[in-house]
Amino acid sequence: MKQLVSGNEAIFQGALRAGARYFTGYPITPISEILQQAATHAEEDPEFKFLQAEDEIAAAIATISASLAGAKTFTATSGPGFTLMQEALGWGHAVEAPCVFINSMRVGPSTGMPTQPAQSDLLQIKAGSAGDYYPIAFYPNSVEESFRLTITAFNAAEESLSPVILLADAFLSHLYEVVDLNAIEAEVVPRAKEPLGRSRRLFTGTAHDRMGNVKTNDPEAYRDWLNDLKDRHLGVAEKYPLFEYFPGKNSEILLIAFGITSRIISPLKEQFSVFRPIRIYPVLEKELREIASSYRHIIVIEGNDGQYASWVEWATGRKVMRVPCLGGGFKLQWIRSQIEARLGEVR
Amino acid sequence: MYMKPRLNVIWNEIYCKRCIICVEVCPVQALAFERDEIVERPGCIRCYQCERYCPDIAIEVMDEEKR
Amino acid sequence: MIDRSYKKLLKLNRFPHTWCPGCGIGAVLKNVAIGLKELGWNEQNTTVVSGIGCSGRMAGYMNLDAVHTPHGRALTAAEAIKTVRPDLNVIVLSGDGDLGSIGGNHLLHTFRRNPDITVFCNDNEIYGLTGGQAGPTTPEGTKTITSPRGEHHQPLRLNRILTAKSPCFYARTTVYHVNHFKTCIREALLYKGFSFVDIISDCIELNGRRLGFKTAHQMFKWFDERFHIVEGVRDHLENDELGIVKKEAEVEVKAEAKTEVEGKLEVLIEGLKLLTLEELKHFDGTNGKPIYIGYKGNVYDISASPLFQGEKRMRCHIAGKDLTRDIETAPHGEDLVYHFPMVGRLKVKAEAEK
Repeated sequence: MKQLVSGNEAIFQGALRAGARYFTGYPITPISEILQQAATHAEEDPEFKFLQAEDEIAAAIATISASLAGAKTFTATSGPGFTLMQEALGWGHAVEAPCVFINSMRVGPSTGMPTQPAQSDLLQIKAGSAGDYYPIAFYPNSVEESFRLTITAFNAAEESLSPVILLADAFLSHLYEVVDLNAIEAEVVPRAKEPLGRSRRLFTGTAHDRMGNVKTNDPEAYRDWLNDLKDRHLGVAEKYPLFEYFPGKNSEILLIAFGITSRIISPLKEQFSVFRPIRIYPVLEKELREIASSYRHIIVIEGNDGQYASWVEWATGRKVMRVPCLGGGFKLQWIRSQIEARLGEVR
Repeated sequence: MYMKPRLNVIWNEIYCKRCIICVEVCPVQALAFERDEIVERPGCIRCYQCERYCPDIAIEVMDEEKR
Repeated sequence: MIDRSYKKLLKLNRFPHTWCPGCGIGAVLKNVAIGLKELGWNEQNTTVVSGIGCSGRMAGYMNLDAVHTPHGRALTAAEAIKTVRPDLNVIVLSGDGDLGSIGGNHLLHTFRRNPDITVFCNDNEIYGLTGGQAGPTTPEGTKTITSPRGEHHQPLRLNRILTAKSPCFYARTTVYHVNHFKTCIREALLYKGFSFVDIISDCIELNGRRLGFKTAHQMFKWFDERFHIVEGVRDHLENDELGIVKKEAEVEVKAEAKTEVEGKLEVLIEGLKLLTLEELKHFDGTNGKPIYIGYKGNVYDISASPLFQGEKRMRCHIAGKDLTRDIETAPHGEDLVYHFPMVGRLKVKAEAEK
């Protein structure tokens, strides 16, 4: 049955479809609706557990711990809360706990502009926690895709044994669209990791070997462990090379946009070619290099001051032009004029 | 693992960190710390205090039947 | 003969453990293992969670599935595990800095939500792993490397905080009082709900030496001087007491208190005298008489009101009158009147004629 569904609802329903049994979170606009739905659902379904945590630190830690205990778990937050969750994110990679973190972005830094949409937490998914880790992150641009990608995120988490990040933005969270979620078919990867209470393992954030023995002064063991982790994560990421590409007619210019920005610039598809990355991290290096090679100019339009643009520059080894939509100002007219201005500079 | 037998106690040299809690807790001064070793002197009353207080599980009072 | 089967619960292949000579954490580890073994808890039904610090390393020596969390987050992790897996016994092994300082918020809220977990807090009153900085439980005046002239602040009174609500289980013991220690461990493990054992422990290398103690045993003697054991189940512990505080849920207590109040009210109403409006006029506060006002058929003695004191009137209200209508138009509510004792009933005309 077709229904009017918001982005937040689609994410929650997607998580249920993927088999989530535990949700914890701390209220923050724009994801408070997910909390509300989880609380209501927990009252009806005794198999599903809900905890309103005292802060995002607790929420993130509880998500990972409950995952180790054997449940598929997820949490949701926005930029400021995601900052608090960084500690747990690093820990989640170290203890190899499959779970899903949802970050519906709003303008930052700090409290920023509550609650104007933004896309400014891209660097935070990769570089917020200490040390090296290789997260996987997806970013939908519609309500239906939010549902699908939530399930994909859970699957990727189970395969890579790590916290997978699903990005959204304040716009998308509160976007209502008519979809039939029940008609969407999706494959679900079951839990393979052995839950707690079966053996004598140690799950620790301290450097350890494969047996879980703490090894704090053994570079060899650390290297082995980290390389294993990296190979596994990049291998799983390769299974999901998600992107959309619309080649324009006789266009020399490639626009790159993702999330809600890609929806806003969709009228420009007639004039320009458009590339939309869905897997935001690890960066679609090969795909970007291949597609960008046939264009003279690349313009990255995003809700931050060039975070993805710098990744595109790194992946393609070329200078790209930037149209930063800052402060929640996503207006097609303005974006069009900015593109004209950038092109005017180089012509 | 090298365990040096004493008359009433077994002392595990590898686990022991020489904190001498056992020496000080012994009510009859039957244990002593000499030349980096825990040595037993005559007079042990087998009260198990050393074993109960040892934080390193390094000293055990021998069971009767094993003597 | 002594039962040594608890050793199966320890990873002896990793011994000797990492702590300093004489450290109390070894005793905590051993006695908790003994407590678990006595109850028959094993790797099939028990999970241990720990935080960061010297005491956080305890989880790695337990021969069970163990979770070693980031600094301060052990309680949250334990609660989440218990929520998802109610069949598991979840115990937390951590320290005072981890639970009381960086995890202070989690401590308050986990205590509030009362999950069925057991917490063993190695309370050595110092940050040992990082070299001996003042911690949340460091007594005032103690010299540490971050309080070279003595700690300026009062310590966190876990015995007050964790007994502030019902239900609760809080026990304080030391590593020196071994029998008491074992009793506390056993009681805490058996308690259904959030149980917290505050184990006063020694950090001889990084705290004790600075305080002037030569060996761990001298610190034990110091604990013996500072604390004494109180018998039985208490409803609170003083700062120098070792014992067990256990409080049941508050529901029944509340019901009793309510009936008591109602009973008193009835007695009061029966003993009230009847006053007419004429009689009421006399009580206007002049010549040392009390100040009475009438309100909704009752007479209240408002002599205690600072605003009426010594005067016949306060703003627009006049003493010795029925003020039922005044209060309806007043900016304040009638609750102000109910602060004062009711001393009589007002005899209205109908009643007077009878």
